[in-house]
Amino acid sequence: MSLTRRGLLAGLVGGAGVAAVGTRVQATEVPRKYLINLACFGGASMLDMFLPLDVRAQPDAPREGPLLAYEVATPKGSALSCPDREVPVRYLERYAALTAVVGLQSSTLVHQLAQERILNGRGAFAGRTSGEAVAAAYGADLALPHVNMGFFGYITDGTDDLLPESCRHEFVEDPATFALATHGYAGVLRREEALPVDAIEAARRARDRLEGASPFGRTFLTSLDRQTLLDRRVGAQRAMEEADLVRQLMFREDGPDFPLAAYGLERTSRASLLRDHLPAAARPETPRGRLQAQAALAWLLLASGNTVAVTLCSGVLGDLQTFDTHQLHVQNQAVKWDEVLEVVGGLVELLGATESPHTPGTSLLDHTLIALPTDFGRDKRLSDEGGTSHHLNNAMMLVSPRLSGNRALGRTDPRNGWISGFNPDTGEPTPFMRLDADGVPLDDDPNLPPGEERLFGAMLDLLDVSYDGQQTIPALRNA
Amino acid sequence: MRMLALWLVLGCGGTVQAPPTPDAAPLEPDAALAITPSVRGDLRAKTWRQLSADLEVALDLAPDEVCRELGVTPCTEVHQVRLGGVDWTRSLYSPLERHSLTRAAVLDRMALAGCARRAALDAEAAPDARVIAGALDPRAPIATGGGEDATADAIHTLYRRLLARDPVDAEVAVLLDLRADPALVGSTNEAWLTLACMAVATTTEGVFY
Repeated sequence: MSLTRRGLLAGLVGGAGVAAVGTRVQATEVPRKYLINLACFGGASMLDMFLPLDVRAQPDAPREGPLLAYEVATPKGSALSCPDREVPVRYLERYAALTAVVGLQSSTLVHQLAQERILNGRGAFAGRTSGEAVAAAYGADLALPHVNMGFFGYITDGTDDLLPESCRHEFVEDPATFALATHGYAGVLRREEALPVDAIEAARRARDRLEGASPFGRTFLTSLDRQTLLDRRVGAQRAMEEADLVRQLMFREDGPDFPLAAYGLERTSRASLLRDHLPAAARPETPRGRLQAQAALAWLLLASGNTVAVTLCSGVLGDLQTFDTHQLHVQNQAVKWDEVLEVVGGLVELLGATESPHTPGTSLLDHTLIALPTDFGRDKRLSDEGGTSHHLNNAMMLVSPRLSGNRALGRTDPRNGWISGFNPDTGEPTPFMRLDADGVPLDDDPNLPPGEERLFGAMLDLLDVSYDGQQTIPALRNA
Repeated sequence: MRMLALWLVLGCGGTVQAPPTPDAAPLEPDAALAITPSVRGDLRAKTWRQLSADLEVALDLAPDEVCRELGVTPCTEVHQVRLGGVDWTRSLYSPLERHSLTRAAVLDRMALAGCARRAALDAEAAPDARVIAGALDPRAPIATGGGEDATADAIHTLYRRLLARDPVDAEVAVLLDLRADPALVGSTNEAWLTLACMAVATTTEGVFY
């Protein structure tokens, strides 16, 4: 039986550990944790990455055609394998110890629905997304607790009406210019034309008085939208300005088409680390650069101490290459996985090199979970055209020093390419028991991998966030 | 709502208290303008298109003169989604249903940029060609450059252009107080015009309808 932390935490209600809000249990005096969801739009297939079948071990002339398989490498020190390609091999050599791969059986083949479900665990936590849950647990008092740079179903809000409004995500269109949106006057005027800060603050005080004096203000006293804006001015906006996020989040370089210095701004001093770990962030106009720019902003947001949950997304509409590999499956999965693994590696290095602003003496990485939610899996065999359709069976990648890494929970069945379930307490794979005539697991096979609910619960459990009815995977937690 | 001035004069004599904001001075009740709050309080936030168009018309600026981030990219392009726009590349086909946390800052940026541009153009213009300054010489120091009449006229001009109405006495008093604020000591009328314009343009009346 999988124990949840809820039972333990419930015993501490009213004590030093937590505060219970209805059925939502909120950690209040534990170190803040951080979640980065690196969403892989379209279906990042684990059969094509860390749970591959070895092409040398394939049976001759299988009736249904060959399963997807690769020349497999198992780097020294890694219990995980991968296609024998430079980027994944290098990734495992460096970060296998932080990485776990967890079998997952999705519940839908519809992109948008699948994306929503992988983020909200099919409503497991009152409809909250994982980002919202983490923001509510650790970021409700912060200026910008939850940021989302995703698209399609990955930018869908959760449905919990009790969630504090500030914990819903702040949508960010362009990470390279987002810093400008965090300040009401820095960088608006050229340096030589800038008005004194005291004068601008005097104008803001005058504006507050105008609100009180105006007939409009009195007439619409009951307007929630109006009051929200007034509250934001003295709340979130003030906090963002005082934190100088306009400079802390600015990673784009000064240049003729982005003249920061001329407008009294400068790039964050942290940006020097980007060259080594996310070099393409300087070219956000390319697909690889776009994802790295998102990762750069995610890192800076966490480093600023104002954010605890960030969603990135590999891909936008119109991209020629995505994980939705209905054509050129092998090639496009390879390109996209390489792109994503580079970013994960870059984030690990940057987070590891940055002290946690909330827990001095530790790194951000110590308290972070990088999750790679994806829509669903892909077919286990190529079509005649070299593509694959959507498939419910897959696995999810998690990266964190908080988990028991360098392991796969689930195993690829060489008879059919499906990824098996596992014992949630021990992590041992559980072989399929009920196969059809073609050797494919039946829908009611008890050893199918778990669904979105358990993965969702396990992710939050790794970050010490609990709720009623939470399903977890104890085998994932680092002893 | 910007185009209407709904002054409901009631004989009940009740005063309306605004929700407290930390830095706001207390309300100055005006018995002649006793107003009953709207029951529904149903307002709509102006989108990027409405905000820009309103500033263009009010300040007599071309679309690309209102606000450009770092002098290059139109603010309405950089901040489109947080100002009620959409982004089809991100499959955001409808505006966000809730206000982004950064909307307040972006409203300030647009108004400050547009107002500064207008005040600077007025400083270059002949007196009869000034749009918001009127008889007030923008280049003159606040201390010596213009009497109360010219200043009050400029305030009326700002309200008529930005909010399509005349200011009430209390509002005029607030902006006169701004001109006398210690933070503006040594500043020019141009600075005061910019700040007064920004303050009026970004009242909730200026950004909702």
